[in-house]
Amino acid sequence: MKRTILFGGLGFLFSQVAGAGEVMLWHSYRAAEQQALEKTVRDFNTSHNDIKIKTLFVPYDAYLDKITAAIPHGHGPDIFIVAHDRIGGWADSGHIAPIDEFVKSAVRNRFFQKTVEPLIYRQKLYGLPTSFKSVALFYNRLLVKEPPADTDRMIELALAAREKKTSDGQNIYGLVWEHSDLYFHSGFLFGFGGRIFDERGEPVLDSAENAAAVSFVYRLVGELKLAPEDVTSIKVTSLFNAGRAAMVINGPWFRGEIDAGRVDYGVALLPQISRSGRRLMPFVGSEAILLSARASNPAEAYTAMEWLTGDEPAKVRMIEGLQPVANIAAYQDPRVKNDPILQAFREQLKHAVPMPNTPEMQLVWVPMNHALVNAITGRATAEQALREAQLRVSQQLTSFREGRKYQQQGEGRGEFLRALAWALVLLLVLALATGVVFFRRLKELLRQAWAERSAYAYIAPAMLAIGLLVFVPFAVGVGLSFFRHYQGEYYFVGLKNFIDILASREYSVTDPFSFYYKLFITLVWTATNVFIHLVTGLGLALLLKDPLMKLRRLYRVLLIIPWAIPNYITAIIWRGMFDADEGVINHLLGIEGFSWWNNTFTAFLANLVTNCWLGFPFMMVVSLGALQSIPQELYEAAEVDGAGRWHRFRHITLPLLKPALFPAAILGCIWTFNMFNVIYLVSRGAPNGSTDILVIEAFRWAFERGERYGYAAAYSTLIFIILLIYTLITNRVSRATEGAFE
Amino acid sequence: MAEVRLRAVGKSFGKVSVVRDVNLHIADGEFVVLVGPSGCGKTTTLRMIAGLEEVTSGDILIDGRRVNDVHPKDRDIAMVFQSYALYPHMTVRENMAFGLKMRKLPREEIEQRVEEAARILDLAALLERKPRELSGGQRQRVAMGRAIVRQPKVFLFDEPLSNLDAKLRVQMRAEIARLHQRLSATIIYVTHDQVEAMTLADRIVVMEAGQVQQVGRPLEVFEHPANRFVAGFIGSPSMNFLPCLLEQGKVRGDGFVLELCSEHKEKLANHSGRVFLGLRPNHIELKASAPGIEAQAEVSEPMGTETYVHLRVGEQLVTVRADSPLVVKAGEKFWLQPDMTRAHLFDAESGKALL
Repeated sequence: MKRTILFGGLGFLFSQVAGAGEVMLWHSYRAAEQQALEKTVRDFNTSHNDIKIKTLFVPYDAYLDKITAAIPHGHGPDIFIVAHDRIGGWADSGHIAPIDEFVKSAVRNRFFQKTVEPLIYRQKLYGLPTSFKSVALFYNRLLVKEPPADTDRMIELALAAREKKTSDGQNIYGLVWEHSDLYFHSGFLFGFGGRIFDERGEPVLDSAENAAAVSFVYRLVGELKLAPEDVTSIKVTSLFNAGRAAMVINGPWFRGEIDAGRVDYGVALLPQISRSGRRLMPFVGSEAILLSARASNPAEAYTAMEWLTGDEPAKVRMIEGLQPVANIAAYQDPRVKNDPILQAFREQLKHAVPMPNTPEMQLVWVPMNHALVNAITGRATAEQALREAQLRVSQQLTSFREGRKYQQQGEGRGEFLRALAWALVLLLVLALATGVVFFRRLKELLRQAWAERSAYAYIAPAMLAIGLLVFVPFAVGVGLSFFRHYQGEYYFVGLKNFIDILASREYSVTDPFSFYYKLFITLVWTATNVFIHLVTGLGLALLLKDPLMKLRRLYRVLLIIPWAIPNYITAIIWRGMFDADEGVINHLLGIEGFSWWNNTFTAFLANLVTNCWLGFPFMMVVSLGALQSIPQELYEAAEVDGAGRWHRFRHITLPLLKPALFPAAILGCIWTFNMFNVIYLVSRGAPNGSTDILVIEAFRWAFERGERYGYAAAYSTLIFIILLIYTLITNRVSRATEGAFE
Repeated sequence: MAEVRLRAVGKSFGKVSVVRDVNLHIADGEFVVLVGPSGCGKTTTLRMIAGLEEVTSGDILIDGRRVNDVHPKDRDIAMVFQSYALYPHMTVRENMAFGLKMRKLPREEIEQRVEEAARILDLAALLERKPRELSGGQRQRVAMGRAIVRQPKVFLFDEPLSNLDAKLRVQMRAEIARLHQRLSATIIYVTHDQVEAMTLADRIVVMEAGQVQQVGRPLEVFEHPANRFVAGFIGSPSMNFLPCLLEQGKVRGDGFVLELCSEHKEKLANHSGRVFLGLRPNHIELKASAPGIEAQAEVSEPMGTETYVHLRVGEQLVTVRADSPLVVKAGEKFWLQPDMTRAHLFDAESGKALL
C-alpha cells in the first residue's frame, strides 16, 4: 500500500516532467469482451489522474508474432493480455519481466489457484490472471434436453440427433468440435489418463493412454461420423448457429459467436468416461496481463495491471464480456450466481489441467495435430500416428535444446549486430579495393555518371527505395542464415545451417520434411502448373481471337477476373469449395464426404486446380497480345502454300509466339516456385506437410518450429540461389530465340 | 498451266458491293494485269481467284473447273504478296520449301525445285539466310521463288513491287517479265501503277469502283480507251480533258473552236451535245505564235529528254509535251495546235468514248 502511494506520487511528479503516466495495453479481444475491457479501461482512466491506460487491438493471427517482434525493439506494449502458454519462452528470451516485487499475497489470493499456477515459470510470477479458458460442452436445447453425464449417453444423444434434419432439410451432426486440434482434444487425452510430458519434462506422446484417447475420438468421428472429418472453428460456429450441431465442445469465447436468437443453448461439464468413471479434463489456460520487460515505467504498468484485475473490473468483464474471470469473489455476485453458463465453466475449472507454459510445449502442437488428423482420417492407427508425433517432437526438442547449448556457452549477446557491422566493413573494404584496382575504369564510370547526373537524379528515389526495400532485407536475410536463433539471441554457427539442410541431417532424404523432398515437390508443382497455365492460356487465346466470336469482349473480361481477385481470397474460397462435406465440388462430383486433404495426390490436385484458375489469365493475355501481332498475311500465304489448321498452328503461330511466351513462362516459373498463398491456404500442407513447397517450409521453420530464424533464412537463401541459377540458364536460352521478327 | 474464267463475279460485304459483274477470260500462259486506283476492287478480285475471299455471286473457273468452294491449297495457285509474307523464323530455303513440304513431296524433289528456283532468281547465295537478313528486293525474289517451286497452274501477284524503291522497281519489273517468258506461266497481276501494267501485260484489265472498265492489249487500251476514266488513267502524264460542245463537226470550248478531222466528222455526223475533248500531252504542239488555242504557261517540268508544260486555257489546265530543252517562263504566252486526228471525244454524261 505504502509502495503504491510512493510510486503513484513519484509517477504523478514524473508524469508532468517526462510526459509519462501513459501505460500501453495491447489485447486481441473482440466483440463483447473488447467492449467490457474498454469499459474497465475507461473507468480506470477516470479514476486515475496520474496514469492513463491506452489500448491497442491487434488481431489474433498476428498478435503473438507482433509481441515477439515489437518488444525487443522498444515499440511494444507496456502490458498486454495474452494466454499464458508463451510465458516460458518469453521469460527465457527476456520479453517479459517477473512481477514478484510488486505483488502482495492479498492480491494473489483474489484468484483461483489454478489460474495463477500457469503464470509461474521457474519459480517467478509473470502476470496477473484476467480470466481462465477451458472448453466445456455446449448443447442445443432443441436437440438435447438434458446434457449427458457420461460418454455413452453423449454418444446416444449424438446418434439420435444425427437421425433428424433441420427445418430446411439439412443433416445434423451429433457432436462437433475441432477434433484435430490438440487444444480441443486435451479433454480426451487427460480424461483417458494420458500425458504430454513426464516428470522430467520429456515428451511421452506415444503412451497407451494417449492412444486410447485417440482411438476413442477416431470411433466418434471416423466410425460413428458424429462430426465432419474436416473441421475449422468457423465451421463449428456456423453449424451450431444453423442448428446442425447437437453438441459442441468449445470455450467461453464461443458465447460471443453464437447467434442466441436462433439457437437455444446451454453449457455443461464435459461428461465422464463411461468405462473408467474419470471425467474428461481439458486444458485450462489462463489469460493474463503480462508485464513487458521493456516497459517504460514498470511500477505504473503494474498499478494498471493490478487495478484491471481487481474484483470490480472483473465483474464488468464477466457480466458484460461474458468472460469466466479468475477472481473468486466475482462469482459471488448475485448477477453471476444465476448465470448457469458461467457457473458451468467455473465447475469445469475444477476438472481441468493447466496448460504447460514451457517453450518445449510450443513444439508439441503441430506434430500432435498431424497425428490427430492422421488417426481420425484413418491414414494411420492411433499408435502409429502418435509414434510419429513422438518422433517428430523428439527431433524438434533435440535441435531446440541445441540452441540452449549455444545460449549457455554465452556467445550470443549482441553478436548479430557485431557480425552485421563486420559485414558492412568488409563490403566497404571490398568496394575500395575494387575501386583501386579498376581505378581507371572507375574514373571513367564516375565521369560518365557525373555527366549524366540529372538522369541519375531522376532514378535516385527509385534506387533508394529498391535499396531499402529489397537489397537491405535481402542482405540481412543472407546474413541471418549464418546464425542460430535461440530465445531472442543470435549465435554464430557459420555454414552449419546450410550443411544441416543440404546434408539432410535432421531428416532422411525421402522424409517429407527433408530439403530434397521439398525441392522435388516444388519442381513438380512448378512444372505442372506452368504447363497447364500455358496450354490453357494459349488455348483460350486462340479461341478468343477468332473475330467471329461475338461476345469476345465479355469473355475477355470474365476470364480476367481470376487474375483480378487477390489470390489469398481465391485460395480460401477454393478451400471451402473442396470441403469434404459442404463443398460444392464434392457435391457436383457426387462424392460427399471425400476428403481431399487425406492423400498427397488429391491435395496436390486441389492446389493445382486453384493455382491454375489463378494463373491462366496471365498466359492468356500474353498469348492474345502475341497472337494479334502475327500478320494475317502469313496465315494466308501458308493457306495458299497448302498448310491446314494444325500445320498453320505448328509452323506459324507457335514459332512466332515463342518470343512472347518464353519470358512469360520463365516469369511464371519463378512466381509458381514461390507461390505461398495457395498451398498454405488450400491444402495447408496436408497431409503432414507433404504438399508444402520450399518457401512454406522456410516459413514453418521460422514460425512453427521454435523460432528457428537462422535456419529459415538459410532455407530462403538456398531458394534464392536455385532461382538465380535458373534465371541465368534461361537468360542464355532466351537470347537464342530473340528477334524472330524483324 | 491453265486458263482462268470469271463469270459475272461479284463480292459484297453486307450491303456494300465492292466488286460487280466481272467477266474475264484469261488464256493459258497469258500475263493479265488488273489495274486501277485504290479501292477499285482489283485486289479483292485477285483474292477471290486465290480463294482467300468468298465469292458472293458468279463463278470462278480454273482450267474448266469451278473452284468457288475449293480451298486455296487445292486450286493449284501460288501467290506473291505485297509485303512478301515470308515466314520470319525460317531460312530462305525453308520458306521456299514450306509449300512443298505441306504437300508431302519427296525430299529430293523439294531440294531440286528449290535449287532450280534459287538459280533462276539468283538466290543461291542467300539460301541459308533468314528474311530479316535480306534486302527488300531479295525478299521479293524469295517470295517469287516460293511461288515458283510450287509449279502452279496460275501465279497471282498482289502489288509485289509497291514496297520497293523506284530504281529497284524498274529492275524487278524486268525480272518478272523474264520470268514470264521463261516459265510461260499464266500470271494474274494486280497493280495501281499503270506503267507496270503497260510494260508487263499481255492484256490489261482496267477496273474502277468494282467494275471492269475495259479489257484489252496495252496499246489498244492506250490508243482506244473505252471511256473517260480509262483514258485518264492510262498514260502518263494523263490525257487532257477539255469540256466542249459538239455540233456540226466542230467542238466549241472555253475560248476556242476546233474542227474535227474528216474521219471523225463522218462518224459523228449526227451527234451533238456536251462532250469532253481528250488530247494526250504529246498530241499537242506548242507554238510561239498564232494560230492555235491561246494559253498561258504556269509551270514547266523539265524531264531531261522532254519537258512538260502546264498551261492555262480559260479555266482549264492543259499539259503539253515539248522537246527539250525548252525554257519556259511563267506567264509566257503560247499557242496550242492539237493533232485532231488523235483527238478523243467522250460523252459528258456517261463518259463513254464516242469514237
